[in-house]
Amino acid sequence: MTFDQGALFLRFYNAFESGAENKVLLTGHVKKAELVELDGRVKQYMTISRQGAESVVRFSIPAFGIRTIKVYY
Amino acid sequence: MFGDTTLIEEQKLFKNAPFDVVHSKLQNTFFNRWDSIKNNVILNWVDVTGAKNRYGMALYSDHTTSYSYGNDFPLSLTLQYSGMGLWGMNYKIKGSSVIHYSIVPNEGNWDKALLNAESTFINEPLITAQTANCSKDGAGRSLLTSFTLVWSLAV
Repeated sequence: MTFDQGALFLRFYNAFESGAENKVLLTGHVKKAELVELDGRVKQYMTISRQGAESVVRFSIPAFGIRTIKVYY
Repeated sequence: MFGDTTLIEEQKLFKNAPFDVVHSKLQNTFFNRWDSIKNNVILNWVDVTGAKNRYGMALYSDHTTSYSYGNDFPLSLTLQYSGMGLWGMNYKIKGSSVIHYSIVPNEGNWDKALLNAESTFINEPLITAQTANCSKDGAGRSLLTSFTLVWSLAV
């Protein structure tokens, strides 16, 4: 987890033999979230839903895969 | 030595590696020559699983060191070594070692037993701090909440 270029980078690792979708709750009002490659290229703009004061993003990671999301507040 | 892993039938050995889990095909970890070196490195955990993946015994270490394993030889963790080694090295024990280890009997294989998540619990325990202020409803807040135990933050 790092803060760079005015955004929060969260890199997740799926230590499991199979992939699955999961939801991640982020505290506060997230303006924009992107799924990015390791070199920073945007792979996908993510849909953000609200759950009270939290922001929710959903994405999947394959087995032993790594995914990085870039979050703007 | 850790328990009687020799009693586990039809053993398979799995262990974690950086961003991976591997199935060791070695019958044992013993060698005497440089050209027959075997991978006996434990990063965080090694798991001996029995027949049909019904149960296993996992060994965790907070030191990256080596383990021993073989037919009729229980899973063991190397703390220190003294004696002759490869390339003529004569290793000596010159002091004490401080090491934390855990043994975790588990149901199912490493995947179903969530051994990687257990590794995170052991190596990255929850750190708490007393603060002066709290929210109005008395509840805490988390910056980030993930709804699965098998995902971890990589950095």
